[in-house]
Amino acid sequence: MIRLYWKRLKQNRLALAGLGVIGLLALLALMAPHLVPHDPIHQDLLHRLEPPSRFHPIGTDDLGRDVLSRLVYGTRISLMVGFVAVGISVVIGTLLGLVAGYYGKWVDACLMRLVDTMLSVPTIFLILAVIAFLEPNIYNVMAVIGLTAWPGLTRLVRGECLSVRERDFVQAAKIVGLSAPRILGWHLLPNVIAPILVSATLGVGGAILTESALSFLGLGVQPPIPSWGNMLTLGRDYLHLAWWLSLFPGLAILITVLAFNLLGEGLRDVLDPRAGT
Amino acid sequence: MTTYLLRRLLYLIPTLWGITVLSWGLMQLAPGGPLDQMVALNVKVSPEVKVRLTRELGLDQPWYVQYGRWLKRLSRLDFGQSFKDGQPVLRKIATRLPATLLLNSLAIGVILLVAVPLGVYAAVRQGGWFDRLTTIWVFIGYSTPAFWLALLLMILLGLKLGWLPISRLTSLGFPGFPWWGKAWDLLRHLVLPVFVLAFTGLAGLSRYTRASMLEVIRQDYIRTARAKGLRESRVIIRHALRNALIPILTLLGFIVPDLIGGSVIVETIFAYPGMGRLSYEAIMTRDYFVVMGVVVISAFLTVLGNLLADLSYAYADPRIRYR
Repeated sequence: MIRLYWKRLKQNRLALAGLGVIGLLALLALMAPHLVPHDPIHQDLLHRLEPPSRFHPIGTDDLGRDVLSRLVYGTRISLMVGFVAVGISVVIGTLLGLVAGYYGKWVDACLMRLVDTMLSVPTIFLILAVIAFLEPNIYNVMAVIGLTAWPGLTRLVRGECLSVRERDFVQAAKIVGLSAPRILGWHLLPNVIAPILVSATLGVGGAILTESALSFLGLGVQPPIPSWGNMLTLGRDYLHLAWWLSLFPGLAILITVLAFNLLGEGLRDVLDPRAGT
Repeated sequence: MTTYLLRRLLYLIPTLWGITVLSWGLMQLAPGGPLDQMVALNVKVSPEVKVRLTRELGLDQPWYVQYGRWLKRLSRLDFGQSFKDGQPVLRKIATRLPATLLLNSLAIGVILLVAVPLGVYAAVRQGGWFDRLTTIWVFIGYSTPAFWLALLLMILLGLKLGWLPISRLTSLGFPGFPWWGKAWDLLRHLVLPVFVLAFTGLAGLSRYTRASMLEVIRQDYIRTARAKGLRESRVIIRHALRNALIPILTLLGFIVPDLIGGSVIVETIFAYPGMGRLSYEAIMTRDYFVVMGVVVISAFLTVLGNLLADLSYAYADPRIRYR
């Protein structure tokens, strides 16, 4: 089964490219200390705002820190935020979706109204409001992105669950007297895993975008920890003087998010041929 | 249609109520509650005054009494006052809302004008070079951080080439301009923010249009239209597009919250005087009631947008009403 999917995925060149880029980024993140030419938070005030050169391939920032090294370290932050936030939202979204889809009736009605409510507040306002009242740091950012991203997934899982619930093997499991958690975990979950995987992959890209936007606004990862978003804040401050501070971190975000989106769409085509057009 | 409308309105009640609970719950997250936030901005408040204020604001009451009072004030559209300048929150938002609506409706207009033809053409020439090119382009648009695109455009078009202003909605001498000068000035200021919002919001709609068109093109009535010997352009526009557009109406409902959310970042970066920038300023100064007011109002706007999308969907497609 998995081999079949892999074979199909291999034919999708864009998705494969996405997967390759993600692998490369993961490697960068893991090996960061061995790869970077300079210490990412070492300040060198004699070499402030230097344009790209042989010594600093993509220049230095306002405190003389090497932008390339900071960029590589930023990979760690972005990937971590992406994966942790999506992890949180997948757990909540899947759980609530399974419960709503399986039990139906008033449980479903209540949960779906909750989803409607969450979806009608623009997520960014929800996140900003929470961050405003808490302290902006990387842990809060991960938690808040995760805690606001689940409603879409809940709706998706519930929908899938509703149709699977009526199939014979679920009815059989009920008649045999299996407990609800067991039916949910062993019989329903494996049948809804494909759309979850797709939406999680796309979700990582979304979470990375949100984190960078928050950090850019000064409400996310705080300096001196390098994140692509807060590096771009400097780009705005030195708009006239140092274009390289704006160009490269944004390019890194674009490439990373693009990779996750391409892989996600590719997975959708592979796992769910109906949706592919 | 009336029964559908009534049922749809009935569904709104729990959602609207949920929004109030959510917003109120958020407010309770603030360390020390609203009073500490208020007092923190004013050093002259003595402990005795604080006790009196607590009683007057009803903060010594149990939570359900507090929530009830808040709800009552909300029903009169009383969102409290800004800590910063004592102005009613509603008035502050009302002065900023038109600019945001202008920005967002222009962005939606641009998105529709570009995304629908793109999607249609890509579907008609499925698998061709145009289709492949737009697919890649759409992915890039979808993955681009809006604030980064804004920065690059500011550097290139604003600073290096000097073609467009990079901040605010009007120039300094605006009040003295003749009307055409005013219109031209507004337009020049709107180009960059609208472009950024539209570019990043376009992807979803054009992909959806393409998928919807592909679905419709396979239908029997399209074959019939072709068999009748109609011109291809007429088949595509009159017969296929009209049907393909119907499901797209619901997608518009989903775009609204994204755009409102996106305008926070775009407005902030372009110093655009809208609701998004107001909320950013309020968050930075912890101007509590303003933040909550923006959350509630933007949520209500979203609900309204979804409602309109659903109703026009039901109007355009009778099958929906009888489901």
